[in-house]
Amino acid sequence: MNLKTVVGLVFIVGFSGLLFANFGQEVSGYMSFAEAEETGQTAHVVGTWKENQPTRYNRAQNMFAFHMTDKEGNVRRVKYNSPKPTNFEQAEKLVVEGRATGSGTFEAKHILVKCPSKYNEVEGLASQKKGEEVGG
Amino acid sequence: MKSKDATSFYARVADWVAGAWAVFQKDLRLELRSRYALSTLLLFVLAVTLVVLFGIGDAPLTSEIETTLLWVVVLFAAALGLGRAFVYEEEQGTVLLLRLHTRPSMVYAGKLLFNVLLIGVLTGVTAGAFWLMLGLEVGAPGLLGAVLALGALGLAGATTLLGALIARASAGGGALLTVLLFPLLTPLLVSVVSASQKALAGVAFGAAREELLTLVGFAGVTITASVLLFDYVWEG
Repeated sequence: MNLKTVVGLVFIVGFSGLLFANFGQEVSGYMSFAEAEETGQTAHVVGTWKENQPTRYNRAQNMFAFHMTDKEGNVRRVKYNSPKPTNFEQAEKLVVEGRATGSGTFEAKHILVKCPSKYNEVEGLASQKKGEEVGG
Repeated sequence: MKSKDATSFYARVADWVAGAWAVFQKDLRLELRSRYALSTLLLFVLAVTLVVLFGIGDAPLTSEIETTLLWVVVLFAAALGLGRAFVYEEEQGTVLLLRLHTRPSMVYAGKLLFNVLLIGVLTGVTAGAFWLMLGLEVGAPGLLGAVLALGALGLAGATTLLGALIARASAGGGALLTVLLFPLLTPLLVSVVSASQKALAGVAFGAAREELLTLVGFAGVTITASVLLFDYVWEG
C-alpha cells in the first residue's frame, strides 16, 4: 500500500465518521424547547410532565394544557387540541410533536405517552427505567 | 542534497497545479465559447421559477416549501448539466489527447474545479431568482451562503467521478447518471434542505452545526474517494 492509499483511507474514515455521527443526530429529530423556538420548525420534544403546575382542559375549545420539562430542564406550557391523553398521569416520559409559537408556549399536534409496562415487577421496572434510551 | 529534494518536490507540486489549472481553463474557455451548459441551466432555472411564481400566485409559501423547491430546482439542473464535463471529451474525441498530456489527478482536479464553479453559479442564480421573484425572506444570509457553498461542493464532488464513469460506460449515459446519483445524494439533500430552512428562519451558526458538519463530511468523503478511484476510471 502506498502513501496515497493510506492517507486517502484515513481521510475517508474520518470524514465518514463526521458524516454519520452528525447525520444520525440530525434525522433522529429530537430537539429541546429552546432549539424548537429558535428554528420555528415542527419538532419532537422529549420530556416529563411538571406535576406541580396545574393542568387544564377547556371543553369549549377542546384544548388541553399542561407544563412540561424537557431534557435540558426548560419548562414550557404545552397546548394540545384534544382531550387529555389516556394514562397521562402514569407516563414516565412524554414526546410532544408540534411547533413553538413564541411567548413560551408549545402547540402540540400529537402527544406520545410512554408508560411503564405493567407486566414487570416493581424492582425490575426501576432498573429498566434507568437503562432505557430515549426514543430507542 | 536535502534542499535539492525540497525544490524538486515544490517543482512537482507547481507542475501539478499548473496542469490542473490548464484543464480547468480549457473547460472554462470551451464553456464560454459555446455556453451550452450555462445557457441550458440558467434557462431551466428561470423557467421553473416562473412556473412556481405563476402557479403559486399569492398563496402563502412556508420556508419549508420554499427551500424544498429551491433544492429540487438545483438538483435537477445539476443532474442535467454536470454529467457533461466528461461526456463531451468522449464526443469530441479529445480523451486520448488529454490522457497523453496530463496525469489523471490533474484532470480530476480541473474538472472538479469547473463543476464546483458551474454548480456554485447555478445555486447562486437559483437562490437569487427565488429571492427576486418569490420574495424569499432570509433571516441568516451568511448561513445560507455557507449552506449553498457546501451543498455545491458536495454535489460537484459526487457528480464528477460519476460523470467520468458514465462517459466511459456509454456515449449518452444521461439516465445512468441520475440512477447512480440519487441514492448517493440522499444524505446531502436531507441536510441541505434542513439547513436552508434554518437559515431562512434566521438561526445562529451553532443551531445548524449538525447539518453543516454533515455537509463537510459528505464533501470530504466523496472527493477523497474520487481522488483514490479516479486513476482506475480514467485509465482502466
